[in-house]
Amino acid sequence: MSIILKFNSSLKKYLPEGDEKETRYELTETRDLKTILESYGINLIDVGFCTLNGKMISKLDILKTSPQVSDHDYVEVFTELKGG
Amino acid sequence: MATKGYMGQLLRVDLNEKKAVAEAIPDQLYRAYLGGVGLSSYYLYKETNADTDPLGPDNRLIFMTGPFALSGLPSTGRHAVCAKSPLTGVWGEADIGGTWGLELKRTGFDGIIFQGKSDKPVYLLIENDQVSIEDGSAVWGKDTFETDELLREKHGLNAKVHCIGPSGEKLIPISGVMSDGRSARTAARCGLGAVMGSKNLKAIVVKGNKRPEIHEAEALKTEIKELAKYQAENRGGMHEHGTGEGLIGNELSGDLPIKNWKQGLWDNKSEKITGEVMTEKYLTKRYSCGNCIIGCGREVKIEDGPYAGVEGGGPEYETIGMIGSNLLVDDMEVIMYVNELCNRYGIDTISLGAIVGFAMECYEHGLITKEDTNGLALEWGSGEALIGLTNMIANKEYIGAVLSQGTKKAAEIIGGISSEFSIDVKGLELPAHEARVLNGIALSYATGNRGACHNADVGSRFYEKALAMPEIGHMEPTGPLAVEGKGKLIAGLQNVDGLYDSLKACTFMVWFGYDTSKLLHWLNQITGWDMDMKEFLEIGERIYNQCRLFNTRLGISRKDDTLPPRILYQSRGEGGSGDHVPPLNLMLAEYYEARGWDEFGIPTPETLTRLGLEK
Repeated sequence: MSIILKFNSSLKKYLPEGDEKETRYELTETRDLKTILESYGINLIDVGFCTLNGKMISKLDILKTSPQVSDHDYVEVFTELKGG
Repeated sequence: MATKGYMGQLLRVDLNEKKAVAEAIPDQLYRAYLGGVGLSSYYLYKETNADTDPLGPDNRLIFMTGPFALSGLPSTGRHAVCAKSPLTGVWGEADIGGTWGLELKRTGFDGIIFQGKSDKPVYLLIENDQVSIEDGSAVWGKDTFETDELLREKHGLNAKVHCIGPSGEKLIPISGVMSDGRSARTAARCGLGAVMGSKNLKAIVVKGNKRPEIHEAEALKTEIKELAKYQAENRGGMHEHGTGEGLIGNELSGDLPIKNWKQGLWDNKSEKITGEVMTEKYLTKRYSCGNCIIGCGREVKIEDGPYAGVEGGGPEYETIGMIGSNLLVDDMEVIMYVNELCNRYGIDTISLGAIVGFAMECYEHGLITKEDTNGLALEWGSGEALIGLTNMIANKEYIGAVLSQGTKKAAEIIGGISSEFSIDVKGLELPAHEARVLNGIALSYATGNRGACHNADVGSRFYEKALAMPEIGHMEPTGPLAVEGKGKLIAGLQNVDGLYDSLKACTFMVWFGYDTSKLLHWLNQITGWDMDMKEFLEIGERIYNQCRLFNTRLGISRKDDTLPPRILYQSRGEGGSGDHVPPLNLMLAEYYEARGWDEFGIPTPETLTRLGLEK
């Protein structure tokens, strides 16, 4: 059982060596998205939001409501929104 | 002796009399207003009145640094530019990075106040204690890049130049004040370049070698060293791709302006104009403002094709949003070219993008025709239309003469339903963040002293989504669409923003190790004060209320604390903002209560007394 994670923009630096944009994450008992992201060493301050199978998950939800993933899910991770 | 951290004086320049005089700044004023926007708000309120013509000799034009400048703290090379705005007729403020502010302080002055009007073009030269008003005829009419080059050629390459371009000379009320030559930093908003032009003042050249005394210099140095290390290790995407990084995220989340704020999605076309594209194809180097480690600025070059020759400061997020997606222009080279045109003319790219969007919508509805545009078709997505209209606006030609006055005034002239297409608050066009997906920014835009301002609340979206600020009682984020508590949160964040803008620290630093308690700690370290958090926050509140008083004196009240109808009543219907519109009135009631203002948005006598302010 696994999910695919796509890291956008400067978050690509967190991809395991050899992966270019996406990486496959083998699911064990951990289904919590925040924990999965942290397992790549991602600093959550750099994350703006994610999409799970195209549906938006806000940063606040990632931090507070522990969204769960399932087999074959596709998660895109976006950088914190800039501006100024 | 001056309060530590300050130079103890400002320079007052009377252009009627061609006189420049040093004027002491009393210690109690420093402690009440800090510097930057704070001190400017004090002087501007005191020295102008409701009848002051923004483009008349009685308006003041103020440049002000803060106590963090030359302290060594990272990202503190900023200064404020303030005047009564010719675009909005109310409080006018623009905040700018670069290197000029630090150099001004090195001359021995915390700031400059200009009054009067020169009878011919001039520029001001300050070399430490030597101040002179110089003949500006050789640079009048030159663009900002040329002006910078000519004046530095004459006064030394280490001189720093703040100047206006041809649009400021023509008194176009969307003109900014530019610095750092081709690197093009801009005090962009509110048309303050036109105020400078109205005084026949082309430029301010500064060169100095003085430094303020720091109370606990060694201890501060140690902390700066640690902070610098942390920032260098964590500067991430801001450094790598600049403020335009991850534009696709702005589109998907509903933040990005698309088609004059009508459309919710753009088929992922924002991927063509994102910061990453700039990095891959055009980046020559990363630009840092004075004393900054992050380096979010871009230096770009187009080597070939129709826009070959573009070379200098690249477009920021706001520019890409407003002259890119807002107009459905997905050609990065066109955006970079127009960005450079605006930098050379000295034009605010946010207002320009909003005006061109307004004009394209007017054209779509037959309110502007080819007869008005010398045959130019103002089609959505047309780079030719964007470039052509930019030149028309900057030169006040054809319909450009009307559009150059900003969307609000242009709508009054064009009439019909065109006012529906003017997306502004108090006459200042919206920047590139969507108020229908963020209740905090909706309230912040509506109540902004200068109008719709993305820099007035320390980035409320981050405090809605991820960050806490215990100093103002914001213990945890409650989400961008929450309503309860939003009034109190935004009032608190606006007060803290006033502190950043008066100390002169970049608000991006909330991501890079700064917080409100540290600001206070460093302020005490620099000045030797023993200020507590209550007094510190009260200064922010005083500054916000001082600017509000400036506006209420002009008749501003609840009727003006609103949003354009498109934002308030029409949802985008798709994308991240979906069907949401901001419940402004609910939030406004709580906001006024948190501020100690009455139901019309007027500060109560009790509030003014508590803050030591007088009408």
